[in-house]
Amino acid sequence: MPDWTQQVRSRLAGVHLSPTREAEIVEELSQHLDDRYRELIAGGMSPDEATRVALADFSDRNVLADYIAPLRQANPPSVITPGAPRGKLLGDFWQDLRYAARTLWKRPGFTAAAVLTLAIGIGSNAAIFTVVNTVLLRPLPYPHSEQLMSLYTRYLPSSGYDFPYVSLSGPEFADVRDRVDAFSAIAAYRFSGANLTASNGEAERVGILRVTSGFFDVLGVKPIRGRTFTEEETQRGESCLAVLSHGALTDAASAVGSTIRLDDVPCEVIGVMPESFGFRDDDVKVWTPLSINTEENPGNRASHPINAIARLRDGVSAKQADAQLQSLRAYWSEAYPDHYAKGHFAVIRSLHEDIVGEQRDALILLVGAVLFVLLIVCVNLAALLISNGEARRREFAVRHALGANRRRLIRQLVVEAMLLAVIGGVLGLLLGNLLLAGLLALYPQRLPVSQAIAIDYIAVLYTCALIILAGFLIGFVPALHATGVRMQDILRTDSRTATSSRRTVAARSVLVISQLALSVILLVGALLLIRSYQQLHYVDLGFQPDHLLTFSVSIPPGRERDSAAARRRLAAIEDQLTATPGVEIAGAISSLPLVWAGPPDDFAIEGRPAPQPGTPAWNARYLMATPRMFQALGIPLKRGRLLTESDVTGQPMVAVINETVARLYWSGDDPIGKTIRYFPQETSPSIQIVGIVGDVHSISPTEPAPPTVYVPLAQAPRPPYDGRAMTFIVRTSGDPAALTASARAAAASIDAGLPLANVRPMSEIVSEASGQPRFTTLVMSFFAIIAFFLAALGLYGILAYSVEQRVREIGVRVALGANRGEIFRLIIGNGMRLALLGVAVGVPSALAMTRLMGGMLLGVTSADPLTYIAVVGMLLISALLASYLPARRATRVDPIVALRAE
Amino acid sequence: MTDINTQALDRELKRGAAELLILSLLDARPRHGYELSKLIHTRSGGELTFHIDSLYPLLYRLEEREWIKGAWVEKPNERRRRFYKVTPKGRRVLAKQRQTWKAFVAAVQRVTGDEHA
Repeated sequence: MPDWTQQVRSRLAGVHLSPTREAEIVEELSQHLDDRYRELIAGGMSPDEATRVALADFSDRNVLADYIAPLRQANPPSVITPGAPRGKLLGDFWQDLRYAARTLWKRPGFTAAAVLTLAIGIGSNAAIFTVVNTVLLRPLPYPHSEQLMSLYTRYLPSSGYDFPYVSLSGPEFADVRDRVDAFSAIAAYRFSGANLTASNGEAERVGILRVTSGFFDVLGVKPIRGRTFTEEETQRGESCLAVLSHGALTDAASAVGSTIRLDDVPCEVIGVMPESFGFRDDDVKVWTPLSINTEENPGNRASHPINAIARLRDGVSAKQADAQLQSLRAYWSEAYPDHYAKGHFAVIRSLHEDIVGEQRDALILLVGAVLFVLLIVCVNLAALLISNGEARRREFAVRHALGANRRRLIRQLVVEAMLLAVIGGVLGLLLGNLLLAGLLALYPQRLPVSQAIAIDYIAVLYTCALIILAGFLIGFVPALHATGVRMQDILRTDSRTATSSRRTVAARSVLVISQLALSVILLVGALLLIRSYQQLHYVDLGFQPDHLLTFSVSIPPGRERDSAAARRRLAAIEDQLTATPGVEIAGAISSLPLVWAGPPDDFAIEGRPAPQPGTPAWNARYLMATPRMFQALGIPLKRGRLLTESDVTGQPMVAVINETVARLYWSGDDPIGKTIRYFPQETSPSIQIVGIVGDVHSISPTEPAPPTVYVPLAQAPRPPYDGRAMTFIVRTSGDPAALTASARAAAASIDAGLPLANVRPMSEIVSEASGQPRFTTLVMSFFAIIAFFLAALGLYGILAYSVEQRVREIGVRVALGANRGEIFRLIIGNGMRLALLGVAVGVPSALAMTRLMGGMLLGVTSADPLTYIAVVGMLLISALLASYLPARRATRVDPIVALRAE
Repeated sequence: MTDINTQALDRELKRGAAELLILSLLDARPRHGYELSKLIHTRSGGELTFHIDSLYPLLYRLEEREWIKGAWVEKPNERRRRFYKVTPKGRRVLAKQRQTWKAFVAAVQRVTGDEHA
């Protein structure tokens, strides 16, 4: 009897049956053939004939396999390694993971490149997120900080002003305190500075925050030692009391009850705040009482010197508080129609928003930028994995034949990508720490938190989410792609087919185009910022900031009772400085440009009726200056004369105004010779205008010059400006920092032990003033460059790959007579086509997205054509470079070698 | 109205008929594969023949649907054979299929009969 086993078995070849089941089927069918054979022999057939007829029972096509293949028994749950636990998620995962680790280990070059780029992408995100989390997301370090509000008044344009947030006047503060029920506590504060003299006699200039009694209650922070001010103490104000910060003195913790000297006035220390406590400015070392409605805080409604914070009562929402302020608005406009009828009222704003609001746009922009970088990294790796998958097709086919189904293969690839992402992510967290250090060094604002900024668990969670997302992005598309062919076909054909590599090139092309488009958006964003940052430097500040050393000096009454004598001492220091070798000229001013100088002061113009109540007042910054100041800062005289040495007490009071004052208040008239009088008019002297000087952008480089009046320090200034605190400006021909020692010596030779504060070159102040745009610009450019390189690399990768895949085709072309030039143009053309498509997608997207950056741009529009031309140019040139190497390789294809290789 | 996909109809008819044949034959008593194929051949007067490579996959499919159940039966001095019998579920299906088949045949007859009248 013939053995049918082979016959049957060969017909079951392609079917995945378990060995037992296959044996059963073979046995059953063989028996059937036996029966048939026996019957045929019995019917008188020869054995050969009988064998042939029995086998003819099979159809011509091999339908046995086709019919059995869809059955359940032919589709056992997949296993990669025989004997592994079946269908156990964790067990399978562990297996996948080990396999992935082996696979990656075997390709160290690819793995290193992938992990590094991922580390850059994830690390940048971790670093930027940490800053965003600390600045924008984390609540302020006070209990129930969501209840904390800043109080302001708002002027609607109908009032003649247009200020969204202006500080309060004394009476306004009192009204809110007494008439609004929504707040559990309310307090006023005011920044100032003083010389703090330690017990060893050494003086240091420190930040002071003067606060009303409720201040610490509003913030909800208690002192670690002693107590804070009582209501009565802040009202009284005749004796000096102080609450110290933990770091104010080396032995601050035990300082309660001792006496410190602030501006040479003895002050009793009544309390010490905890180390973590700070409010808005970490330089503040001492809190002293502030009383409302004093000479320096005049009690009229037009003067707005009060900064205020308040805490919402439990259960009261900001909206309800706002409603109460609205009823206050109604009361005000009824009781004081002159001041309030036209649109001036109290508003609240969350303290958090008040402190960090300005940084939000820039930080969100950076978050977007780093997410784009990560996206580009992922796209790049996905593209690499796609070609990788191409090379691994046979491996997949073999595993498929061994029983792995498509889902399992996809999972395997995703696990591989996930492993890459996790390694890259861990490395990224380390890198993120470095980047964070760099970011914080660059960060322009003093961050409004006293604790250290580090990658915390929230940032780690965020990073984990990114890692998972990245792993999925990197793995899923290539996995779908690599497993999306009939596996049997792969084993059947010996080499990669032209179609599959063409599919690969197409898939990668899409990825490369999206990469290029993303990098166009980032580059445009960065270049726009660079261009506006440049504009910032083209702004003529109105003075010459180079070669200037500046420092502040204050001679408090405790040091010199007579303020005229104090001013003479300051003048003597100026003389001494001017006489110092290396100094060209030295001057002094009460407040430097680009350093906050307080609100402008109102004045009256003699011979003109005062402005109607409710219409804009005449006002200007009131600055005291020495005659040499103009030359030292380099402020040009426009008309009339400057202040001179002969403008002293006893002589007629004079002032020099800037061009803005002249334009605002004497348009079409000559201000020189006119007189003005500051408030209060009864006691203030009349001041004659003798000259007009150039405008100085003293608020910020981007803001217009404010109206400014310069009065001579030597003429008795009006209270509360006593001229005891001045900033010196020392012009040198060399490096201003080198002058520090001789400047200290000059000051010491006049008044030994007088502390110098804020000793720094003017250029530093100027550079700080543009700190935020510089930060944004630098960081954005950094990431844009990374994105740009990654995109160029991606383009190079795909071109190199497609040349490799097309060696045979190129060989045929060359054999058929194509010349090298044509081949070269073919490949370059391919690269340029991708680049142009990337540009075609990227430019409109960039136009749409950069519109959101409008608020950060200066002097350029978000559709700035020059920027777009530059970006497109850069991209095309880099595309040309990226195509060059593959194109050159293509021209070197030897047709004989290429054709033989297949 | 959509056209009747005659190819698909043909396939469905054949498959349905094949299932019906096998279930009916096994309803009487358990049989093995060779016996089934012979019975179908002889009882149809040679009109119907199952190829070996369609018969067994069909049996396996019915087994997976739990309409029939196969079991190896060993007899002394003989090789073991795999016998199939109808399950209770298969019986229910058979009853329903018989009904459907009758209705179908009757319907076809009515149509074709009208044509001849």
